[in-house]
Amino acid sequence: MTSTRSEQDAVANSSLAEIRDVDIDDVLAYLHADLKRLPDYLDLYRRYLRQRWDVYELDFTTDAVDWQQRMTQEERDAFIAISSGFHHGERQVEIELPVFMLGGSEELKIYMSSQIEDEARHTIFFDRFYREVVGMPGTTVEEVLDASYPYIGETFVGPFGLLACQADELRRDPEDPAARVRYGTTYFLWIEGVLALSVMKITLSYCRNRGFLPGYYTGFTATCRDEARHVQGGMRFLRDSVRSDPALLLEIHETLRTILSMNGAVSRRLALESLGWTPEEVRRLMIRQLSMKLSDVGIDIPPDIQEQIQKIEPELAGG
Amino acid sequence: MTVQLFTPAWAEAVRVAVDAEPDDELRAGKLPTYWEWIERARDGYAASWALTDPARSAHLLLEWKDGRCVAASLVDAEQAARATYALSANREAWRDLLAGADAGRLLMTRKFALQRGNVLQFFRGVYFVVEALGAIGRVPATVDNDVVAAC
Repeated sequence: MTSTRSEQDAVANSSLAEIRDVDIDDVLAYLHADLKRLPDYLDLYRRYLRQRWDVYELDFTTDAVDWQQRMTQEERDAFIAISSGFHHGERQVEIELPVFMLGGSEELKIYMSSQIEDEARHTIFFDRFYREVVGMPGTTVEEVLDASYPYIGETFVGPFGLLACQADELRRDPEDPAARVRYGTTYFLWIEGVLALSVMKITLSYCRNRGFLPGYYTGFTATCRDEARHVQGGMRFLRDSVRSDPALLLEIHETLRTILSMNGAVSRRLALESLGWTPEEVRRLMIRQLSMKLSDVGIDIPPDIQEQIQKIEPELAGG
Repeated sequence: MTVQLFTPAWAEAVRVAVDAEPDDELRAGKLPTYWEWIERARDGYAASWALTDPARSAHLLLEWKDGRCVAASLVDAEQAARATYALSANREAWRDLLAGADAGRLLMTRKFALQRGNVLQFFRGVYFVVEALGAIGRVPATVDNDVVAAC
């Protein structure tokens, strides 16, 4: 996954209209290129101000035609099953993130305000997609969420329920370093760094290869660029936490043990093949996403967790 | 038979329900890998869960040993505080559970909120807990004067 400087500049500087021409692989390369140096929180905040996009500028007219006339039922079923995990994932992280902002440095708090706004905008992106393209019923955001909920798997509650409980732990003491690191491992490393980026790669590759859903492609590629900031900010938080207190590495390990132990419970079969992917390819994609972050940020992993990582099963949600 | 929530009869019906294996219809709705995960989580499972309705200060204590629910009793707050995990749900959440609401979603949205216990350990058995909550929801029971049919 390499890209040239000009391709990374295109990712960084594209307007919403221009980002339609950007390849998801270039966004992922852009994300990982900065993991080694990890920009600081105010750098990320400045980047947010430059890269913020207007979700109401997206035009889903062609997407609705693609959805109804060009995509097969199997493709629609697989697509909606995967994207519903993201629809609810965005909503969950939007409401679970503010508690994290109660602690940490002033720079982190300012940066986190931008991430909360991003997550709210991403929730609206999916709300618009489900109303205007999929045709889901509902007059409120909650009603559309209710309509898409049956499409997500039973195992969604694993990572996102864990995050909710970890947010509650933080609420009791927002400055507790161990609780912050456990929360950050679930949210920034697993949900954003692995689950979200894997879903982005799968659905955006499908859209690009088939030439379908240009509104979705544009908005979700812009979302992925936002996620690049989130993952970089999150990895900076984890790296700095461990540097300031190496014992916090054990909190990352324990959280990963729980996350990876939940991962094997697959409750529904996803017809990934209809989107051009095999389960084995998704599995390898997830392992790669996790391994790259751990390696780039310098988080050492003991053998038992390495073994768990090699047994990762496809799990598709995000936020 | 419909029983009142937080009565000895309900507690025993809950024990039987959570201790039972999922029936064929339930199993058919999810992949075998999901049920195999639960079997692994349940194998040797030992913990106690206190399920509470704070408004009525009612506490159901479920005790698990070797993967079996060996006791279900109504206890006071002091005894409930000694449980490995405490889950709290208000009357509306209990009503939702009995009406067939998704137990996982109730947990994720804090309608059934984990108030106490090691979070990471709790989630290593999370789907087992979710299925147990679902089984509790299928026990025909009344909340106050409502009669909620099992789904």
